[in-house]
Amino acid sequence: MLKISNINKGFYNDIYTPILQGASLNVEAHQKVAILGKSGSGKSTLLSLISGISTPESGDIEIDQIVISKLSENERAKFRARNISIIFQDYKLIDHLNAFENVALPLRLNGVLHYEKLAIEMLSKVGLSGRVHSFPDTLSGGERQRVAIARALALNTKIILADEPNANLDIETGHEVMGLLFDLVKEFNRTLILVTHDKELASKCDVTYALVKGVLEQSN
Amino acid sequence: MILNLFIGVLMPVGLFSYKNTINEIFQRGGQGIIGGDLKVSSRVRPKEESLLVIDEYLKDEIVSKSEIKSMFSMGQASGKVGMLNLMTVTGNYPYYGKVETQKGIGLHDIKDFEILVKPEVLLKFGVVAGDKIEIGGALFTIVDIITKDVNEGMQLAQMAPKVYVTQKAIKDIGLISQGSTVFYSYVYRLKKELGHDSYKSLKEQVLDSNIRLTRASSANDMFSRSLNIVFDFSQIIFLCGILISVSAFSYIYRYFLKKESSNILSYRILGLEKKSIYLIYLLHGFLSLLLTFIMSYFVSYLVSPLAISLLSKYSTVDISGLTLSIPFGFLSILSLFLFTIIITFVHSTIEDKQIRLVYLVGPLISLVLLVYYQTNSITIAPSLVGFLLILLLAFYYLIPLLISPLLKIKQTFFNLAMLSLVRNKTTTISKFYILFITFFVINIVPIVFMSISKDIEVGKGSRPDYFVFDIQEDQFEPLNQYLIDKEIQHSSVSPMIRGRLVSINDEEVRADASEKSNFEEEQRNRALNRGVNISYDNTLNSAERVIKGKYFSKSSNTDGINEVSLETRYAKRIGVEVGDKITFEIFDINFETIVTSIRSVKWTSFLPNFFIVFEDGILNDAPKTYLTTLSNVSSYSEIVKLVDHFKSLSIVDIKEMTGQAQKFLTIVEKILINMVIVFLIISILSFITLTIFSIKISQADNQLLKYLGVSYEELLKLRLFEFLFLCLISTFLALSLAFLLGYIIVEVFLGISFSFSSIALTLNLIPFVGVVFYNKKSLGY
Repeated sequence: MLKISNINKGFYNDIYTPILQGASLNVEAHQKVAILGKSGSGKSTLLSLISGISTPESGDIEIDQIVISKLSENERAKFRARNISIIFQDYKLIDHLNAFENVALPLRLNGVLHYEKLAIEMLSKVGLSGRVHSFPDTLSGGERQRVAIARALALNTKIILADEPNANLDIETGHEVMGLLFDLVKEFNRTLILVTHDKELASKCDVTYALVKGVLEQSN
Repeated sequence: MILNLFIGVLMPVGLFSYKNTINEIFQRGGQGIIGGDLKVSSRVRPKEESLLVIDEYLKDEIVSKSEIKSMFSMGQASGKVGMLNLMTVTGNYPYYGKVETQKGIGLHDIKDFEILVKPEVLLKFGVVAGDKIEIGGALFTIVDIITKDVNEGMQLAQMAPKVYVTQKAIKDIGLISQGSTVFYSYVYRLKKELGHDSYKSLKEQVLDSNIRLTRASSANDMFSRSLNIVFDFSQIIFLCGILISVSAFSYIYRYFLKKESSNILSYRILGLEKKSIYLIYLLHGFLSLLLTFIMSYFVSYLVSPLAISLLSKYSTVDISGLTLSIPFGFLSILSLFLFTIIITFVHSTIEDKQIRLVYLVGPLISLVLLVYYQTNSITIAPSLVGFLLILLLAFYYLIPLLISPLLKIKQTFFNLAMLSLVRNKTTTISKFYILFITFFVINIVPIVFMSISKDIEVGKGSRPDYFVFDIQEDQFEPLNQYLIDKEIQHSSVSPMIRGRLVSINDEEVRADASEKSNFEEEQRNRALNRGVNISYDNTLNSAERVIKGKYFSKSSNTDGINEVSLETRYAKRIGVEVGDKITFEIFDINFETIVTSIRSVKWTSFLPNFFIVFEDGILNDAPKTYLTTLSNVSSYSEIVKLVDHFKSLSIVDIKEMTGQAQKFLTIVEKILINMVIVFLIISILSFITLTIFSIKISQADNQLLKYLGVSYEELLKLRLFEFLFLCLISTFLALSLAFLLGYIIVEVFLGISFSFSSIALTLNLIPFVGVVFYNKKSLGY
């Protein structure tokens, strides 16, 4: 499903700072993979490479035999729209769209015809059928993350990337939300790549990698 | 935020400084303008007793006094004729300033039948110094050319160039006779400047309403009146500039405070009292304003030399040593207005409440004060502010209503763009308001000017060629016959009688003696405070139209009182309606009249028209002069021969006069265009900062859309949809309102035909330039 081969990526400020140095990763379809790492270890960089937002300086990223790291920017955007969903720690909902509209957005962007029905179904799945028309500023943190999860799952994408989705939630809500995420990932048979620094959460995934000094090491 | 405020504040401050400086020029040069400390002027020979009252009042303060007479007369030389403004001076005038000439021959050095002339006379008649000009049948030698004169304001339009001549010469050739149009002035040099209270007291004692008193410090009123018309119109531009910057500032400031909400919460958690939090943010606002005004002052000072050099093109007064004067009064009121807005937003943020209409009372009141300060009108200020408030509220509800039906269009990016416009109401309305005001101003200014300009141009064919006045009674029949014999087409000869307004509805008419009254009172004062020209005619000419009442209908119920017809604007100024009684004094006889009709007059027809017309038969025996117009004059030599025959006639070449008016209009147009250009720059800068700002705050949404797989081109399409749609709506609404208001101003108020320039319409494309700010970098790609 996902194959990362020896990628290097760094950033320039005054000097070049390497972030990922020969990182490699193999993810099977329908697997739940956790990537552990401290702050600044390059977890978000890795996610941006997998999602096609940025490209590595060297190495390849392959999803379903398509080397996305070699695609043009527009091709990567198109690929991402159809194949990858992302859940962020700060939810990233559009403030002036209500819950339904936020969930429907990726469906509409991909020209899905019955997006209304699908969006409402997804909101129901995440327990927000009564908050369909609510705007993000009237939702709690947990509710916003549920909307984000619904949005991520609405379109039948191959991979779901989750970047510390419980980081902004209290422990109880975080457990609830993560439990919901895992259940839905299983129900919809998706591949999940979860970036976290929570070892307990990582232990619930099939495989755990640790990102240390720019290299991915499998730890379980 | 400060930059936006600065941009918006700079323009009104700069333009108001411009206006203030003009006024200061005239105030400073006031003495140089009237040539003395006090000027007593009258369009008819003032009564001796009135002059005695003035002399008695000023008694010990008088150092010297001069008499100046001014009249129009035809001159003739080298086969050319033209009107001249003859001036005679008795006394040591001018007391301030100088009349300078090429060879140094002074006013008091000329002998009888010698003249000093302005350079335009040489051009007009094709003569040089030493040549002779025939005036009133006598030959006058040009002994010197005037290079600098007192008693001139802005060099805007001169119908008849000035010629200084001796009083004796004028008397000898009999140019001054009963009914001639002679302007009398008495200029005083006083021991010290006449104070405001003394001036007011003197005005109250002078009962002759023909007499006008002008002291040096208010001399600007006489000469800058025409320029004040320009500035009156530019009030709209000032106000729009302020509104634009305030709109942009309000939006940015509100966003800033919104982001501060979490800080405010932190302050409260830390135990800070509300009043301390208020203090923090109000101080912040105050310091922002202070910084803005310091920057504005500094920049105004820097551009001052450029502005002064621009002003000096229009001024004959030496202003090279001046700098732009900063209008501190205006700045204070503007600061108050902006500070009330800051208070409103701070209050709403700290109390966590939506801004309600009642919170806007403070800003609205200070806005009314600001507009009143600019316009000096008690009706314009609240009306304008009220109108703008209604407009703002209308847009606030109307724009979402206009856009909502479009939400039904399901095309994804279009739909997302419309949702963004409708749901981000404050941003949308702020941007819309700025665009709307910009489009409105850049459309209405050319509309009004095109219409006025075209009105002067159009009808040239039907306009008479010459305007003839100062036709004496004994010339009436011979002139009529002469014109018939020569087959010169002329309009009916209209009588003109000088009179004075005595009472309205049995209440004696007294103009307010105070100098500083508001716009409406000033207009009324002017209407009441002067002698009047009266005519009589039972028929209307082609330029007149009765808009109220009936024109001299014998059947009207007037109880035997004489009927009179008034021109509509004059009637409004003196506050008179159909049915009101007016008493006129004509050659010491009081005539009681009743207003039976009100007329509109197309003054640009150049036919003899009067504010006040009696019915035929009442004033026929009063001493009078006559006016007429001449059309289809086959050649200029006919005019030369006419003046030869009837030497006391005054003849105005209407083509030349409209040419002068056109010249004046061109200068006024240039001044206004300069202001509009500055306004346009400011409004575009405000719009740009707002656009850049709103692009910036939408970057979070752009980032998400990018993650959702939206390409750069698609994102650009989405954002440009929003931007262009807003531009289109605002253009459409602004154009509609500009056309509607322009039509009302032009057709209803000015009584001329509506006209617009298709080239000026292209200015509406300028704000669309904003698309350049939508690029990969700004959209976060």
